[in-house]
Amino acid sequence: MRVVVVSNDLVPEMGTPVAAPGLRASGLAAGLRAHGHDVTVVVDAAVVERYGGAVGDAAGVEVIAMDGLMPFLEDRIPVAAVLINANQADHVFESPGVRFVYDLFAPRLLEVGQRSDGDQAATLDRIRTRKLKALGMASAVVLNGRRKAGYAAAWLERAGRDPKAVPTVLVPMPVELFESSPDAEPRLVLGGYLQHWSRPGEWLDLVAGAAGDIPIEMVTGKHWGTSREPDPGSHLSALIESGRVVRREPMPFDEFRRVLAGAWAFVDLFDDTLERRLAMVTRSVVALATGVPVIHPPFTEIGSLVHGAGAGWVADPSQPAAVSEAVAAATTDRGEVEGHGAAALALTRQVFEPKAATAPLAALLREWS
Amino acid sequence: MTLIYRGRLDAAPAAQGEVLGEWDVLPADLLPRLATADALVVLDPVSFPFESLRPADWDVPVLVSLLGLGADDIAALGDDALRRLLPGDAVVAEAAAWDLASADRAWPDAMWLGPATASGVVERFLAGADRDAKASIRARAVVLRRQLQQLHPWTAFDAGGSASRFRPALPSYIDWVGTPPAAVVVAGDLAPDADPAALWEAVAPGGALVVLAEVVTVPGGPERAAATEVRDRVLAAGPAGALLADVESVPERPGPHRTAAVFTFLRGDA
Repeated sequence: MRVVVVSNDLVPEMGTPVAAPGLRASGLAAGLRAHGHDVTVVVDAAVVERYGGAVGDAAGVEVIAMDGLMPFLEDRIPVAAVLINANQADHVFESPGVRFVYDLFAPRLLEVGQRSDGDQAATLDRIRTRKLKALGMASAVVLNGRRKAGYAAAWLERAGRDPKAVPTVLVPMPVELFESSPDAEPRLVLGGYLQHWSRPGEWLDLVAGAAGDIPIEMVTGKHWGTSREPDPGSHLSALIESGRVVRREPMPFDEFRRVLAGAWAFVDLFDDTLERRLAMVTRSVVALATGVPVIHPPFTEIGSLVHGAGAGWVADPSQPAAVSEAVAAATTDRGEVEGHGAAALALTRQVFEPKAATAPLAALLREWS
Repeated sequence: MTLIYRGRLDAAPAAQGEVLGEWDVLPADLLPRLATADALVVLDPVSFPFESLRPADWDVPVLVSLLGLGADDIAALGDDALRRLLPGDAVVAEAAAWDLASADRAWPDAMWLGPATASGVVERFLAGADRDAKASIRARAVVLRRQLQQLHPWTAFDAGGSASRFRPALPSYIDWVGTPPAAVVVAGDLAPDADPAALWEAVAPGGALVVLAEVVTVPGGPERAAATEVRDRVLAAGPAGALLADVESVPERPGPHRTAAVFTFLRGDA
């Protein structure tokens, strides 16, 4: 069955740095293909243009201008078009034979609420309008975490839909396995894109202190599509200036995974906010799928999974002792690290591996064909 | 008109009203009657078709008798019936059954009418039953629930206890804390002279302030601030990065009026 996944960001197959939405599109495509679907990933030509750098051709990926999206869909007649977030909602409309699945991926309103750069009201209006349009048209809704069930139901009601009448399936972030085992010597990797909600706080000092002279690689840069430089905050700035960490700029996804591979832990901590509680933190999923245990807060859904599977250490960033203990554990006992890494891979096979993650969506699409 | 459902019971009706047996409540018969009823008394809830009621049918004040029911029956009634009850409704039950049914439902004690359906008890309920008041609470609770679901807060603080009348309808995963700070602060009734700065102080970093306010002056009613004034007043009292994330008006019944709105503010640069 033919399926189109509409990405609002670059996808890893293009060989560029990517972010969560592009990984999401690519992962959904991989999973649905494993279930026998014929999947094309569509990337907005305007996104490629804005990126401005070299973008590789990739099988199964088409770059098209979004004013051509509906003709493209009407020509291909897929069983469904899956929209990652609602960015492209302005470009789609009801058309006989075209079904839309809305992947309610990121809690965008809450993300914007973490900013204070003056244009949030207009941004919120645009996001709300697109979200309501996408939900109004959706034949089904995809969620990446259980906690978003109420969130999705509330928005469906806002869009005039009966939440019980719209099929809603849970599809965790699909990420391919990239098996690795811990290096001989301890090494930590820290970060991901610096976003307005990252809030690198005091815990950074604790991580650096507890790690002693163990190498820390920091992959903390600005996403190319972000117009304003997020404030790194005093703790991150001080850490960077101290020369204590090896700082790396954003890199293609394959390269990121090679940096991750063999690390004793991936440190993914942040302050407790409404936005972070609803987020399904992609960077941690990628680390787990690389066999790298994560140090993660207990208050996210990923934190619960990590705790349940023994795939790392949960530590509340507001509890200094917990952060220090987690870092100490992640940098001293290779056997423990190895055990957590194996648990991370087992958790990935069960939850995040693309075929497993997309099974409910693949089944729904099969019902429609 | 009061509808009294005696169902399979032989009991004589405990008050004035139209008495319905178990064959009188097929949805096609029941729903049109409910739309205009002043109150509904359900003496045999196990056989009453609660599942057929549409959301707006719950505007009618409901008295449910749990007399003679065991824990399993009460649990079975939870999803379709008990979960829907709000202040303005009432329960007749033995003390143990009341404790069981009211656990985790945030029902005020005033909803419990005691362990008997003696006519005086039912009549007192009927005398106080106010369909418009119940509809008003329900309409506000629905919008407040939606706004809170969008935030998925793990803790909330009920400023001044003003949200308590909506609590049975709000998400059950919320831990209502007795003292701030909380991820979300709810002001269930923003008084014209209230100082929003105190509300903002109760909001945890990265959190939200959810405010219900009456924003339309009804002819003959008290003067009320317009929605834009409420917005400006709350934002002016907030931290530098505070912003209005969402606002949703409350549809009133009966009629097309919208006199209240729920505002969701985010702390922004916490």
